[in-house]
Amino acid sequence: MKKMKKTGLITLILGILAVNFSFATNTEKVGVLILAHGGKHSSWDETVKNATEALKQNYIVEVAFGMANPTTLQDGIDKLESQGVTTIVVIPLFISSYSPIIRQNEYLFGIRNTLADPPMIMMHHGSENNTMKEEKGHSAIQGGHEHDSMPKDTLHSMSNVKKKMGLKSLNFKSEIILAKPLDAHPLVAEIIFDRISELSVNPKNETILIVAHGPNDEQDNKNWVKTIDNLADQIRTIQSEKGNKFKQIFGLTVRDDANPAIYEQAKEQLRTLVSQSGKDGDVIVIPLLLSQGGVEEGFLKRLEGLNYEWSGKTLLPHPNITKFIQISVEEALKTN
Amino acid sequence: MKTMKTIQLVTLVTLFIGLASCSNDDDNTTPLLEVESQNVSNLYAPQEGGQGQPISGQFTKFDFETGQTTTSETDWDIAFRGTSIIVNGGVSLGTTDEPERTGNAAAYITNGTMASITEVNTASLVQDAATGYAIPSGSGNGWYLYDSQAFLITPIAGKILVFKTRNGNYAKVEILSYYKDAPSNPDTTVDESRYFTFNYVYQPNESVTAF
Repeated sequence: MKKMKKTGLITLILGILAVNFSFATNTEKVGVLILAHGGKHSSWDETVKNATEALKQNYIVEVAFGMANPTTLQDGIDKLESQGVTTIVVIPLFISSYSPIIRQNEYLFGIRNTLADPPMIMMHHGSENNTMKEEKGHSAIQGGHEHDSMPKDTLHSMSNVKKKMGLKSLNFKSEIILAKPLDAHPLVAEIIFDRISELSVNPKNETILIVAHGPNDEQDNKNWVKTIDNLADQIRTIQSEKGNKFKQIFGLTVRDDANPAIYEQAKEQLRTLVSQSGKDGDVIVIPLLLSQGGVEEGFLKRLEGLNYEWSGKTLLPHPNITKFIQISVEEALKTN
Repeated sequence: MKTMKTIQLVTLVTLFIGLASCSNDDDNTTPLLEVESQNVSNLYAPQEGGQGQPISGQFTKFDFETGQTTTSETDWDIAFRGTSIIVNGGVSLGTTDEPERTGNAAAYITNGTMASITEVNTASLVQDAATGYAIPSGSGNGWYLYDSQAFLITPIAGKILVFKTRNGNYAKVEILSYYKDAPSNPDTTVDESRYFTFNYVYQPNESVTAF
């Protein structure tokens, strides 16, 4: 009888623990915050939003546009938390890990204690939130995508102004899990391969140029190029399994926002590669950009007068980006 | 109490000396020089002979450190004559007017872009030899293709020439054009040949193999 009582007590305690555990698990509510640069045209943003639609079946989703912009990021967090979210998986839909945007995100989300670069406070064109608001705890500054809208001297002086300004990390109660950008993910390689295949006629006679925006910093640029080379290796593998290999695949960056000397050098290197490759075969140029709506037009300007194949199609729209987000969220929650 | 204060003072002085000496150690580290990225236009590399006749003529020598051509017999890294590029290392192939190699230069050709070649593969470096140059001659063997219909020399896309200089520094070169003023579409009936335009990146820090 005594033994029975003891067993009953243990069962009761275990039961209470189980209920508590179950309660704790049920109260965890996952939200997903998608970060993306944003484009000049609203279609850029819409395409990104469309790619996140399928996710809404399983998670509460918000999209924050901008270049590590504390205002839009805070808005996104606030919207998720107001819906009871307790865990936020942040998915940076950016091409590369190697940029001040990503490092500033890490700071804003509390992954870094200090800023790794001078603070950037800028928006993309057409954003409805193009002014930083004091009430959000950040200094007021006008937005606008600087490299498109301002002379480079102005850009530098603005950068100095920003250096003197403080940038506080974001306010959040939730647990934040910051996932990785697109980088050389196999799903990205598949998209680029699809884009090439749409234009390819005779692979062994074709030189493929994968062209990305690229950063200003030299070391960052080396890492961007390495990442594109990694994608190129994956594409070679995919293609070799299908038979004919492409003649050559090169990855390069145009470094849109760099100083004029670097900008011109990058432009000449792109033109030289297209021109030289075109003397002995066909050239296919693929933009490594997230969405259509502005930057790729600059690529075309750089290539004026040269012969090459071009569809202008970017990573989006493509189902692989939705897959990438889903996989990133699942992996983030698993490793947490 | 006095002893305590003395100990504290000695500790502070020791800490200060320790920190000061650390600072001196840091100051002794020589900062690395910045990697230099340059463009050379219209480096003229004439030759005589060819087309079945013995090739001759002075090579146009180039020094990466100064970024200039030179007539020095010793202070040069690479030299050009027609489509031939030689290095100041190894031995002569024995052609007429070929300069004596006095340095330790070497070279190899690799595939990539100027941005993607970030490290020298020292195992691939070779010097000029009696059997051939480090940068191979001939259409499709090295840096160019020859179109026998249009008589046109075209640099091969994605060929980067990596050099060890005579003094043990490194440079990478991308040849852009073989014609005067680097026209986009050279016409051999109009455009003068044997004028090299190239980009190069020079690593001024001795033995540093990264660009």
